[in-house]
Amino acid sequence: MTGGFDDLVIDESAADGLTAADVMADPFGVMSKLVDFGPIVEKLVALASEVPAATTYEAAYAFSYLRFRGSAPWAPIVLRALFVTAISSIEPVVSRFVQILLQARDPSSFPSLADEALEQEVRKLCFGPPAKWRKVLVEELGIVKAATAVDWKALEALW
Amino acid sequence: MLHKGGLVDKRHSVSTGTERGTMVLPTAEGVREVADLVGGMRYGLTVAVWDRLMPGAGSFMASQGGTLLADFLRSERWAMAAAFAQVETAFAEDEISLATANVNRWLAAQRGEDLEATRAEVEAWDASRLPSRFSLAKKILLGQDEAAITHLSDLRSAGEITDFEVDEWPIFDRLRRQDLV
Repeated sequence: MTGGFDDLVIDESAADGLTAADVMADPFGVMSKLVDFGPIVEKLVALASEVPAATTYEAAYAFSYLRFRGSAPWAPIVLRALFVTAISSIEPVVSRFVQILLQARDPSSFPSLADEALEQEVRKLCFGPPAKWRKVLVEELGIVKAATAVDWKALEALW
Repeated sequence: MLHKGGLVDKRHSVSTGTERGTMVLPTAEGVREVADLVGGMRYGLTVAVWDRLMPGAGSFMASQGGTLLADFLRSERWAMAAAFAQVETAFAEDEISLATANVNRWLAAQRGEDLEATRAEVEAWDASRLPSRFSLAKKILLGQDEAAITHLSDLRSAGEITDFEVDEWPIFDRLRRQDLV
């Protein structure tokens, strides 16, 4: 493996006037001011391509990750928060509907909405992405209108 | 994508056309779109399930959503408007309801100005057998503004469209922004 970072210069003038509060408030911004990440990324990309175990996909991913890592380090965090919020807004609704419909369809097997077996069945049916919810609702429970009343394709794109 | 640092993977790239390896940068508008998409899905699912448990309730609920839909169009919440229009379309019980739902759906897809987004579908729409206001809507959706203004004037003279409707219907919003009505 080749490469090195000895020639990379830290711009110490950028540190003038920096306070601990500045660093705490925006560590990535402070680092960006101190160091020109461009050359570093280029070297890292070169190093990554020399890793013998890397598949083509892994190499492409590493390249893309490094290329964008410095530009918007906050993005994954916001995306994660958004994703969790989206899931927690819709998944319980789907599960609850499936629970109600299953119980209505087969009250002898599931005597009440509090039935433990019903809850397990719902978990089994609903755990997964929107495509699975669509299949359960439309194909297994016969809510045919749910197929066209919801933009499943757009929702699936979030996952 | 989350586990890949927010980078667009192959699956997302295929479904959205976004270049693979691009980082998705969440903007305020994007976050609202996601919230509206999820909200729209909740609404659609609720109507569909309710209609199953209480047959006929779906059409009633979808028609009641019309006022909200107009508000969403006017406030440029396109994803939510599209979701409501999709529910309207799914539960439309007659030609008029379906045509109204489709007009709303196309308005949401145009996002105010992008007439090309729906041109092929609107051009293929046969509005000739429907009340004349739908032919007017078709002209507006296709950007045939001069013809639309003339048509609107005729319909107003004939009492088929009122001033109130011109002020309130979202189909006229683009023309209103351009001071054409």
